[in-house]
Amino acid sequence: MKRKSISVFLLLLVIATVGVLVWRSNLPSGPTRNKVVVTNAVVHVDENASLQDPKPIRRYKIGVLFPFLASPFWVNEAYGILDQAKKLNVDVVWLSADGYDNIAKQNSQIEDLAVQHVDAILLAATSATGTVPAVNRASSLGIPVFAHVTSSDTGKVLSSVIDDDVSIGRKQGEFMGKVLGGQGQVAMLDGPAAADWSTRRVRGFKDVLAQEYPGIRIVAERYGTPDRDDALRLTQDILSANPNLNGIFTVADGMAMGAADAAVAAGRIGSITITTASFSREAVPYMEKGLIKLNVDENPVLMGRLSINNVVNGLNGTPVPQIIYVPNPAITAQSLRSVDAAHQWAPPGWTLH
Amino acid sequence: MKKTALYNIAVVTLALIAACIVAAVQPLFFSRENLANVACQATPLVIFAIAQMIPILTRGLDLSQGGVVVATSVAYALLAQQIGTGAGIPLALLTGFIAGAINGLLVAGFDISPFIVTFGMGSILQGLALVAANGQPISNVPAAFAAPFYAIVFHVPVPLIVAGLVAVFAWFVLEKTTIGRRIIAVGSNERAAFLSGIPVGSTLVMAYAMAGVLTSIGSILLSSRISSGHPTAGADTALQAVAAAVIGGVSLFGGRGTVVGAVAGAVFLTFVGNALNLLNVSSFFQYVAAGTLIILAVVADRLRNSSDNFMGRTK
Repeated sequence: MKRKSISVFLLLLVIATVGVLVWRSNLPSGPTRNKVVVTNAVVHVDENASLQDPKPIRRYKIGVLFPFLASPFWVNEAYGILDQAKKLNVDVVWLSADGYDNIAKQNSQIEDLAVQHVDAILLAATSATGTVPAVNRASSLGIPVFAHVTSSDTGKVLSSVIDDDVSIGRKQGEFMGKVLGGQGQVAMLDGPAAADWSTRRVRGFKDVLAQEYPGIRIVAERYGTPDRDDALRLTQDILSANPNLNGIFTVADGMAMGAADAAVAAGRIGSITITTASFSREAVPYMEKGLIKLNVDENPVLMGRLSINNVVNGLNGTPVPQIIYVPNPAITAQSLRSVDAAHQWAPPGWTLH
Repeated sequence: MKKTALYNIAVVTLALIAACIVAAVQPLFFSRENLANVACQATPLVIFAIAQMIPILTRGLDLSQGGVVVATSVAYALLAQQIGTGAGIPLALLTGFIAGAINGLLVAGFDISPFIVTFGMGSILQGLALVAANGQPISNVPAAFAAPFYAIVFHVPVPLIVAGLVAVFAWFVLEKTTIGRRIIAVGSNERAAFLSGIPVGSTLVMAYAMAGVLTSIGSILLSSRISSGHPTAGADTALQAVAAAVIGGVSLFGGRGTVVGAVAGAVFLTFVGNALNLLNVSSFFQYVAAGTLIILAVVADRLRNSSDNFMGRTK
């Protein structure tokens, strides 16, 4: 018993010590920084614009956070970031939360980067709301926070390079409405429940159908991880339950490929229009065969490069706009040829390690 | 007993050596800011590990922890919107209590494997959380919602106080009360406990209900950390908590484990993650490191167990 009491006493001692350590803990000031100047501008980057690479005025160390890296989109975006950083001679420390649900883990990563005195944090948020406290804290420690792909709902994010997710959903809605002639039944394969990017695409799609094509009925809506397996299974069940289905909306093309596989296996691909987004290399054969009719492009490599340029500009003291939207062209089998692969995909064989 | 003491000394020595190596490579590791960060980061896992330890002590397992976390999180957010944060917290804690009590009743009453019962309960709660939250995070909550994690009282962050209170409470219950001794007895040898007149059923119900309430407390810290009610964040809590408890020397064979051990396991796992982050080790490789630690801990547990049997019992 005595030994147990000693253990508990030691535990309390540890807790008390750490508590005292926290007392008025302040980060020693890092290297002197230029103040980041942000304008109110919202910039829509033109698809054919050439990149203006900034010159860092010293060797910056940027902490980059990804919500997830196990999908073609994120690997391509990471390539854009890491390759551009190499080109500009910028050091990058990158960490992944490995799942949109791992919000607390990402908050810890933000704090760990703040402790390292990185020059800036470039965040792709797991959750717009969930990351707010950690971003505010990093910002209060004097570390400028920028966003790429998905932002955080706090005014402390200085400048973001993002997709217009609502418009990605709207483009799919408009295409679906036209192809179906305003009549028919569609199913929706949404992304992970509670993932903001997916929620916004879904909202854009539904808004267009409700406002412009009220004759189209949504007969099924399912959440899933944006990969083939999950989508295949979900689509098989949806096809069985809905013999008159005319279209399938998917939030990302990992899902669209699974949906197409299911529709082909059921012999119903001819009567079903599949739309999607992300435009990964793997989806190209599906588009060439006409299995996926529309793929809204997110230009991940371009987004990565623009994000690093944006941080370097900010740290250099060059004014940066509040929001930079990357172009999101809608790609069909006809426009496949005109796509600039360098903006889309990492070179074949490139890996993160 | 000697083996166990030797094991504890070996583990602490190895952890200290590892910490020194990390500190040599990355001096920031022992900075005040970093220690403060890690201490706060560890608090939800500390509470989850203590909660998980209680069913494990009865030779059970609580796989519904993830479900309790998300259901409590959504309940806390919805209640905070309706009746305010202060009144919402005790009601949100009921989520864990009710789920835990049902787990215990099913495990004890029907003699079903806790693995299946709690897995099913976790799935039910996950589904209910998604339905109640309509699949979305609940973010428009009062400002006080984030206080449990971010507030500071007398220079000490509130999560540290909460985790400390939970640890003292669990220690007191397990070491100083009849119910605690019964939990250990049931886990050590359920048949013997039954024959010596211990009410096995009600002991199990108490154990699972306690695990549920403590998990709900951890969930409130977690929700406050992400300043929103979230229907999916934390769904993998159970396995992390089991890992932390096992690393802290809690035996999966029941009847053996201490609150101090569970706390140490959770803090240690958090420190490993933090150290690897500061050393810029890829997050992919971090899974390999965590998995290796867990397997080593279970192997050590097995060795301790078999050697104790060998020395203490005749077959």
